Amino acid sequence: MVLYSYAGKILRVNLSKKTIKAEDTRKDVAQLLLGGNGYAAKILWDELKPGVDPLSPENKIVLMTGPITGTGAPGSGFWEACFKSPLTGVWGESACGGWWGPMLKFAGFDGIIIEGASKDPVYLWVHDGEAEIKPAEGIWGQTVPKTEEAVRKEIGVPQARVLSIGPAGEKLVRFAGIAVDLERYAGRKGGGALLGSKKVKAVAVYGEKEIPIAKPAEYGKALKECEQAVYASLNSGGGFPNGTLGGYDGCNQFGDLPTKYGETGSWEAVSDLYVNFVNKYLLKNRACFGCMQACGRVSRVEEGPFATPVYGGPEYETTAGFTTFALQKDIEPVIKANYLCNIYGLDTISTSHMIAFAMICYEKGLITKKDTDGLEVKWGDANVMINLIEKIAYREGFGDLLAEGVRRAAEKIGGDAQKIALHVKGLEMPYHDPRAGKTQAIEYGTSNTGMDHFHAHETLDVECYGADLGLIPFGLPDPKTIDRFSEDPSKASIAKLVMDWGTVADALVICKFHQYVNLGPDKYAKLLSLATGWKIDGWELLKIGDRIFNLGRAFNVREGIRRKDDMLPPRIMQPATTGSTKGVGITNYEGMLNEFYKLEEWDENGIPKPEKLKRLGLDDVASYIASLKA
Amino acid sequence: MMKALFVDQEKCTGCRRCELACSFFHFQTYSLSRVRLHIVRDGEAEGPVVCVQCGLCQYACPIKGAIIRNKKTGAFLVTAKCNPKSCNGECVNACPYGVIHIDLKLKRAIKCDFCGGSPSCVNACPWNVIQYVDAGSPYALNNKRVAEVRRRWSVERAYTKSSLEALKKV
Repeated sequence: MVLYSYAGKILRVNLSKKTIKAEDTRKDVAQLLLGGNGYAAKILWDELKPGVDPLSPENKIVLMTGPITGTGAPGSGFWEACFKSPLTGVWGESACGGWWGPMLKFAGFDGIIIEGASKDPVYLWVHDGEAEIKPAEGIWGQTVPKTEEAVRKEIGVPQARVLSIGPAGEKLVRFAGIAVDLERYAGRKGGGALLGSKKVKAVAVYGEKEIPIAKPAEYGKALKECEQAVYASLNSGGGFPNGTLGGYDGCNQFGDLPTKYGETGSWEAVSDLYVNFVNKYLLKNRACFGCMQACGRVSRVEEGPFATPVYGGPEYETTAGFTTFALQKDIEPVIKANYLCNIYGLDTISTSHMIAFAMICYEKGLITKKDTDGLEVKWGDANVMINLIEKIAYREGFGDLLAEGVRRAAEKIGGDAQKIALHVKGLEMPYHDPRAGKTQAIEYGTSNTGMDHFHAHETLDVECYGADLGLIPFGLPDPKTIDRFSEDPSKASIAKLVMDWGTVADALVICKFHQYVNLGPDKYAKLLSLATGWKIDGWELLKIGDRIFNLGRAFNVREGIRRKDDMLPPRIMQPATTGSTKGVGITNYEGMLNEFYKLEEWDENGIPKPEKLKRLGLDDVASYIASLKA
Repeated sequence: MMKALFVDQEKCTGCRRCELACSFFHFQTYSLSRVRLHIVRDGEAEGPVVCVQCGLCQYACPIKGAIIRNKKTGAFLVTAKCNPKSCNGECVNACPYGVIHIDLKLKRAIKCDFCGGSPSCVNACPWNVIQYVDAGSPYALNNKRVAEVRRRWSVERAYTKSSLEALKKV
């Protein structure tokens, strides 16, 4: 039986036993949860015991594509890594663009489950329906570009796409990421550390298999319609042809650019940073597979202390982290810092966050030169930043403490450090300020992955920047009419809708930037129906989003997450000191949270009600939750 | 008027929509694209490599009439006479661009045919990297583009090493 638009097989690689098995992709699971984070959540819910140590062989990592990956659908060049996070200890997922995802599907697989752990370093070579575990002693310890080059050379297929970890992943830095082609990263939550703990250095994929489409001719027409919708949006100023960094100035004006470790939301000193970047350092745009927006940037610094080769970056988050968050105003150190994070395999958000955290702790006297290997960790010192990146990647000296992430580091430092630390569930705050748009506070608090701006979606974009994400027919108020500073509990409904839709993106495994360009639930539902042959509409897609979000929540509840873990750090609730949000704090967070719980049908402790889980078709999860209460 | 494809690699973002469009137009599969995109890191050019209708495939082909030239567009077309069983894929070996393949299912060689006069790759490219132009105009287009890019960035910044070498010859 053909499962249209899926490759039909999922690889299971057991590194302890050195076995490889190809299992059928299950139609029932695919219909209920699509692919990506949905399908992976089902696997991890069924197969992980609660409370396993994320860095033990008992943890698993699932690398998944989705039903329309590689079919030419807009934004379909993505793949997802799902796991129990070494950083947070709860549900972890990272989405990544590039070409690796489509190539995995062309190689004949919808996903790879990696379980157990190898004693010696290995890499996987997946090609044309087959897979091999190959020794990687020779490349262990190498940086990302050298690893990619060595793997491609050894397998003899220059077109192969290689996912890999750098030294940071090998050293189990808790926020080490997974790199693809030195410019795309499954960055957050420590997927790289997990691969490192399993001694997996790389996964190379190549194939030329076809993806069966249920109604190919009609699918082609629907693709054309979507393409035109995207162009219409791009031509009217939508989308991300200027890359995410193009939004930097806007964020600064809206007070959405966390500054001085979240003390405030804007900084005048960086008002010409983006223009400077475009004029001097940007070489060109680069796209993921099949993408019309090409938000990726190719840049370099030609000479001086921050010189880099040509590479892909930097993005908005990285730039914000290495500029305003740490009071550093130049773009050159950012390009260098980004390059170093890329080659060592570090998440740039958490890395820059940890450096700014060290700066504020140093300023407040919580740490001294004795703790920092003699470094003066002063605000805005670019050389210190560059120095610390290497220390973190190799866990050298002071870097070893920072490599643990902000929650653990703050616990070890003690004193006021824990009050200052900006995180939810152990995930470091990214660079959007919830004081600039209050719905973001709900997302930060309740996202299954912790303080995360993009799983399930960036709600600030609706409130501050007027993005409707194609959701107005599904109940989103006109974004122009929303007061971004209001903390009315009704904001919970905006958060719910936007986050469900964002969750769908990670299950279809599409780039979320395509939800900004005239491609709403109906358009993707049409593509999915024609590709799979199933009957599905926009409302059904949103229901799937709800289902996956609640499955993720149940996973976290099983790991002990409750209402207390949904609270925001106090520092980000305090009034901002400058800019357009000067004097604005967050005062009714609990009111908005209560309403969100009601909408989600969670009890006062944040546990989903069994009736709701049953209604979503998650019967076994409902039984578990019911037994928990009894 | 004879036609040609003009490729501005400096603009290419590597999205592969040209490949996708080519595949969908001809076979609805990805792998058989006649456009080939070679992405090489650091110091090398990147962008689509397209058939320039140079005719080396026809020159190498041992079967008379298996590859013919459409006099209107200038495209070399593979005909029903093509029979890969009776050759060693000489056309594939002869192609300097790697854009002609033997399709085992169709049992014949496949190559760019300008999609009968409206190339899909050209229509699909979001950044206008590939243009379908009169065969005589690529040189003029190239010079215009070089001038544009020079205004925007220094030549050293805009062009990678290998393309600078090529520029010297323009």
